[in-house]
Amino acid sequence: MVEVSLQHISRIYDAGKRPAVNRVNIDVRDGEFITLVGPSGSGKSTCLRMIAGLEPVNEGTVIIDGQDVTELRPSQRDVAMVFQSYALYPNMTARQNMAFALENAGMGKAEVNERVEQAAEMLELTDLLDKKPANMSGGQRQRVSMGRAIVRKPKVFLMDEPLSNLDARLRVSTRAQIASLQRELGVTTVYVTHDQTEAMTMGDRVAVLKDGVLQQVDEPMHLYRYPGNTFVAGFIGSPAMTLFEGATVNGSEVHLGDLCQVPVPERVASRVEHGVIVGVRPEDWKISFPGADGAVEGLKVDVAHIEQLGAEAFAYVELLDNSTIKARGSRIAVRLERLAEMRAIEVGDQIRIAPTRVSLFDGEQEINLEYLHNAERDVAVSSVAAS
Amino acid sequence: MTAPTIPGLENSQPLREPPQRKAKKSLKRLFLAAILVIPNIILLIVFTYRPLIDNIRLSFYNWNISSTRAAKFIGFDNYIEWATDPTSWAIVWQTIIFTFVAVAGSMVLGLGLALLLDRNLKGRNLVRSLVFAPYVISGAAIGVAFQFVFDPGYGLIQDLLGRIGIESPQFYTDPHWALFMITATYVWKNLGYTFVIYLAALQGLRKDLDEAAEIDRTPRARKFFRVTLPQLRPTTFFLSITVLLNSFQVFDIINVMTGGGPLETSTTTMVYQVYQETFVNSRAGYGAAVATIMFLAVLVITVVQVRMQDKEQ
Repeated sequence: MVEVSLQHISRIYDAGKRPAVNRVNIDVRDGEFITLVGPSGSGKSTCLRMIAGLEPVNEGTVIIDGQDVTELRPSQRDVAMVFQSYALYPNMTARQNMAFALENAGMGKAEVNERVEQAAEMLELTDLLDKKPANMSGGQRQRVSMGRAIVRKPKVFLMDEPLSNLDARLRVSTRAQIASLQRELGVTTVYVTHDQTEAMTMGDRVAVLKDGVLQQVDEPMHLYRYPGNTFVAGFIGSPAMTLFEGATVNGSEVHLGDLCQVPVPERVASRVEHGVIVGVRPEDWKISFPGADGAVEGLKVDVAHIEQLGAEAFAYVELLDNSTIKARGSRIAVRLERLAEMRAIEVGDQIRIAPTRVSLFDGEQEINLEYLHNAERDVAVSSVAAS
Repeated sequence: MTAPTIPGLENSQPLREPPQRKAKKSLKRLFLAAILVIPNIILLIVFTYRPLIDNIRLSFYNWNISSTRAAKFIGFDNYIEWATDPTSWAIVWQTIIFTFVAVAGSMVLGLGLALLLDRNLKGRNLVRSLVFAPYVISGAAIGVAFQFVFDPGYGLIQDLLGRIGIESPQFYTDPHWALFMITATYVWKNLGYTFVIYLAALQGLRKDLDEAAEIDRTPRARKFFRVTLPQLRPTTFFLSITVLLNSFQVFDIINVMTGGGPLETSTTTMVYQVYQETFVNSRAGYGAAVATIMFLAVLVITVVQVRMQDKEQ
């Protein structure tokens, strides 16, 4: 049973400036794979390094396996880390790299060998064991650095963007390997990435950070469907959710412009107020063509650009100039699923789009209405913070 | 619209020849290169290669540096004399000891000091400057100053040893202590150089390896030998060549402190022997022969070192 608990930890480099990590509070469960995600400068790496002990904790407490490790050196924490640069010792072979920590702990030769061979087999490294890092490809180095962490059988794995130096194809296959390997080993893992796809696909739970502040911690699908605030809504999902300002509110009815009614979820109907921000994901649009029978509902938009991905396509559309609402980021991403839709739409066309499912955010705090007034909420939420 | 196709199957058109670069342009580049290189080549020829060849020629003559007409060709006699004289071999041995201790000593101490001062301490820059200073002071001045340090009658070391009741060694009359004195002085002077180079190298070390070693729970000594030192390898190679070549040619300190003595040659190295034979004993041909032997030795050492370094990479 190894749980990692970050209790209001802060990292303050300069007292006059915003802390790099600001009172972050996360409980990682035993055996859980948690991903820390956020744009660069969000403090996710710093957070990880604070768990490792490579970065001092200025405020708060880090607890690993029930023990307060806040003041302990990295070597006393029994954590293994996979670095973004891999940090393999260049003068040693793969075998020596992997055996190094075990030898440091004074383990007998036979056992060291056994563990290294076992890890090598797991990672398909057996043929590489006597090579030095300089003679390996990026993917091979990455696997050796994973091996170095695995042989330790540590309490916690810490991974700092281990895939960011791989090419796109390898990144996709490796991310699946790492995720299933972690499940096999069952070691509590904290994984840092800037790539929301990695965060979503690998983690049991995802923690989103921005400017050193934790935004939300939740399971990937719940996070996707119920983003805690506008930042998470925009950050998770690609292309991003479009956020509309200037919706007209009439009681619990919300309209985007004149002809487009927003399907307000029943749960939050009572909380809708003036200034509400309406978020729509690219796949939640219904498209209709002007001139087609009865197609007078929906937002009137111009198609500005189309991205073909083969199985699907995204149309980037713009509101007409005289529109009373405003889309953040100006262009609205609309997913085209059926071949018929892809064929029918061309750049320059005018179409109508209507949302089938929306997320509603409070106009001032930009928090999802699902989570506001939470006395009556009916969705499990771990943590939500204002941006 | 053209029919769809994939590379290799399309109806390709014959490739056109790429346009030839004009010969005029390459001539112009050659001219520019020549202008840039020639001054340096002239200097090298006049001040390095010509004297080098002259020196080799001279080593086959018997000449007392007076009139050139007095020079007499004697073939390999100078070399034979050198090889059969036990004093030359004693000098070779002294040179080897001096060089080895000077190289190893200044590198180990320089690295030690660099490790010690590679951190955020108050007055760090002052200490660094103090360590570097001896390197830029002239060897003659250092020689004079260290005569006061080593003097058995009133020197600093004799005073310090006296306080704990030990009698000072006779640095100027005991051959071994004299060589020790010369070597120690030279190491002290050269320390600034190895220190600065090692300090720069330490600051360029990879931080992530340090962190990985920390996470791997590496004991200090093991971390130094297995993680830090291997990263310093290129620097160590570079220093071993430069310091070796420098200490091979040390002259000023010996000249000022001992004049090659005691017992005539106890602190004489090969370079000092060249000077002694040529300008004191007026045997320019013999001196040139020793210089040629030294040149060959340095050549061999350098080639071996560079080969070793290439092999490493």
